[in-house]
Amino acid sequence: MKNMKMVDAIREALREEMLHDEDVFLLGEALGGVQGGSFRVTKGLDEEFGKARVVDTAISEAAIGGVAVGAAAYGMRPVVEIMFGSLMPLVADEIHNQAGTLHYVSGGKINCPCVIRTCNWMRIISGPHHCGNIDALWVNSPGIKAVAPSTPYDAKGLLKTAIRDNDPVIFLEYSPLYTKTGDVPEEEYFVPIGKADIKREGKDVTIICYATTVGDALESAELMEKEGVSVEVLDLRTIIPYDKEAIRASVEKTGRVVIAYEGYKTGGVGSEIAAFIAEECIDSLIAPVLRVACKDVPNPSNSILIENISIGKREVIDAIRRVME
Amino acid sequence: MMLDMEDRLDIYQKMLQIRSSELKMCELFKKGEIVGHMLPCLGQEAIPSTLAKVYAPDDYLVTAHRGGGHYMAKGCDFNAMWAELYGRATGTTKGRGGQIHLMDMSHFAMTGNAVVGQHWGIATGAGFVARKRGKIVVAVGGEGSTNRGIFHESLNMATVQKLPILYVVEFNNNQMGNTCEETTAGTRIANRAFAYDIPGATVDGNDPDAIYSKAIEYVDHIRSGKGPCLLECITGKWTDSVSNIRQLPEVLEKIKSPENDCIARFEVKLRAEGILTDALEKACKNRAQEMLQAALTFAQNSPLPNPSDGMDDVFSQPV
Repeated sequence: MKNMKMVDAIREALREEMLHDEDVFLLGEALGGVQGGSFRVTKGLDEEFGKARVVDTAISEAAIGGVAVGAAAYGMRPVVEIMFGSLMPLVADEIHNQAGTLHYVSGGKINCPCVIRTCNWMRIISGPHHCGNIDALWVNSPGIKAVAPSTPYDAKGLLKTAIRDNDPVIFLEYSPLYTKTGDVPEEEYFVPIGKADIKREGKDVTIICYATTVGDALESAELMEKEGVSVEVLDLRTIIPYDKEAIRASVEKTGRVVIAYEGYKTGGVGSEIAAFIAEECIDSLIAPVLRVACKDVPNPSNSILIENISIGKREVIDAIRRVME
Repeated sequence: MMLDMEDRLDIYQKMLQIRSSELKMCELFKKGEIVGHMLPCLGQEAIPSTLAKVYAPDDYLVTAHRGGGHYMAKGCDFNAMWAELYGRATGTTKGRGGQIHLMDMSHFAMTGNAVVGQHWGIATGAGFVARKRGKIVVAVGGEGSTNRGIFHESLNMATVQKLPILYVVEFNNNQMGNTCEETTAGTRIANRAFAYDIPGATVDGNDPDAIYSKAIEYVDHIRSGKGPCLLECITGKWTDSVSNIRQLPEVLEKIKSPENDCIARFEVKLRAEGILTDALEKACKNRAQEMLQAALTFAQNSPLPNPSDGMDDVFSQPV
């Protein structure tokens, strides 16, 4: 095992996959050189693999998305970077109409093995065009897979799986997690898409979460333990196709559910999870399902204002207390 | 470089195949025998037929949704295309995509994309693969798609990366019913090549010889690693979509006037050069009809998909 930051774990996954398969290449804005990607994820890879495999582009999100689809359709494995999650609408057609439909509408004859990496940040004051979260769009887009790791281990293993997957995968990074450290094996490993992970076992209440809210949930669980409440933390890891069996098993065990996600509340990723539980696990519930999510407000560029719309440990604990009443 | 006699007869044969197939598609749609969304390329047959002499069989072809002619010209499965028009399980996309999503990857052809202009970006992605594999991409779309931002983004990226792509614009001066005069700045689409410092030219898109001589010059440029070129072919679009079947009588009128019709014009030329005789013309037209008949028979005798078949292939493996 080695202890590393998530940013380094993601870079290691990219590097290993580029060494493994010469059809893997990276494309995006300022991936190489001094910048090394928006958050330094790809730093140094251009020196190792050259400009033909670490392709710096103009500020051209539509073309970046188009290239992801076209290069994948004709047999390569592009991994493209879109600077922020809030810029993903600029490639929404390429993802939803093109990548997501290609295998189906070609009669199952054309694969589209591309990865679209992007970075969400919610609790930072860069205003509504740089901050925000539209993860839920991809849950509502047939043919698209989307993963969002919370630890360096999951990030590396999921990205390697995503690159080898024959379908389009959106890889959601969250900027506050880049500097989080964790243990990563020395030997090669993969984390499967579509499998949740119980990050903490408990028996009274399940917190279903992913990415940044996993940390909030674990800290909340720690505190609630002192009040005698046993909290299970279920990290989705994949938001689509999400792990129905893991959710079902945990809900059957605890009967109480809080869903914490750092997106807008209405129609968010957690709304889908709540609907699934209502449809298929209602008999197991002993309390109403609660969602802990950001208010349905564009992200303000002001720390006083952002505090009021975003979520954290406090909101998760409040919700746990309410379902325990 | 000029086309030899054999190539020109091949082009003529392909033009006849496309014309007879597209006319039959309109006719059957009007009768209600086939349904769906269909965009015929009547009047534009010279462009796909000639480009087929410019690219190699294993080069990549990416077009917009009016791509039926390009699908046929590249030699993609004609029977499967007709099965697709009939919505049959044996269709080129199992009856899912219909006429505007025709694709045949066994011929490296993505010849159907129904979001106008988005194929330019996909073609640019294909260009990265082509650069690595020593092939070229021929990307084709109407002039209406060149006012999308993706057209600029693609040409810019392809030029910087020196991607081996021939961007072909079929200028038919019809964008959802608007003309360029109403919608488009600048006199010629090809002039935009100057903005990227790449070769660009406008040719008579109803004349196979004119298309070929410029296209082959550009393909030589592209194959030598110098990056993309932009070729604008002036043509005419006789039908917008077959859902507007009122256009059909006008189309048939146009076929009677050689100045508008690329096939009639080519016939006059081939006759003047002594290449085409009455007997040969008849043989070529018979052959086009025979191919069409065989495809119709295949399609009509093919099974319809089961409703549950439509649940398959959302992902490459079940999830």
